[in-house]
Amino acid sequence: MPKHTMNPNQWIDLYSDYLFNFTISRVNDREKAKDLVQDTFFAGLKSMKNFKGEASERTWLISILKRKIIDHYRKINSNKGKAEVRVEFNTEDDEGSWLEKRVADTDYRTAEDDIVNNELGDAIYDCLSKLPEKQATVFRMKTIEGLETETICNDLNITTSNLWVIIHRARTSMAACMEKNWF
Amino acid sequence: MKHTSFLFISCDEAKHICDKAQYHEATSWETFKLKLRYVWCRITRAYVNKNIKLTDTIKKANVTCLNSSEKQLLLQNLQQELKKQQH
Repeated sequence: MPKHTMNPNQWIDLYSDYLFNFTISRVNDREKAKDLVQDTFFAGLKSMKNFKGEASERTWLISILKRKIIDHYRKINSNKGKAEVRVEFNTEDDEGSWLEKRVADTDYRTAEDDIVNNELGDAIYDCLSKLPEKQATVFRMKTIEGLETETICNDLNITTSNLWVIIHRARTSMAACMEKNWF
Repeated sequence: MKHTSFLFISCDEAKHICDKAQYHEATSWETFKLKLRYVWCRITRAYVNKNIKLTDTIKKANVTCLNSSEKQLLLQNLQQELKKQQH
């Protein structure tokens, strides 16, 4: 008997944020990340019959997404990592001559920084996925989306004091989970 | 939440103020009262330190998520695709 079952109706609620964060940290383009997440869900639907239930739904979707991200980079034949080249024309005498400069990338981060950051993002979403649904929603809206307290209260139809109680519980659980998995 | 006095706050109140402070929603007076308790209360100190660490970590990770309209659109598209599969 399979250990895990599949329920595509729950995919958006359960996995869209995790997959989106996973993608955007690897492609750095919000629109492209949304497309890749959608493509992943569609591919998941198409190959549902191949799901044996040995891995969790999320692991299975992530493996599809990873292939999508690789395909994306293959398609665009990424120029990432290449030095930026600036061509400068100088004085009249120098007209036509040009100087190729290697320009420092001001947003330079090492590959190691990126890996640590990606893993940290994954760890945060792992912990977030362990919270009860309401706590996860409120925490995500307040902490990650940065929405105003009033907006969240109106959207979710809760009082301000209720929101802070939920936030407190969520933060306590998140801190404990991150303590265990990351710090 | 139990309010003890004008100046001295309870541990629960300190935690509440600390939570609000993570989102810059605590007033200066509340922050002052929290700092006062922080000096002598071990539990408050532990909570504040953990809370700040969590905030810093999330900030550092620069995590992002889909907003509700983006999710709604994704849901609609997925449901359409699901219907196609069923036909």
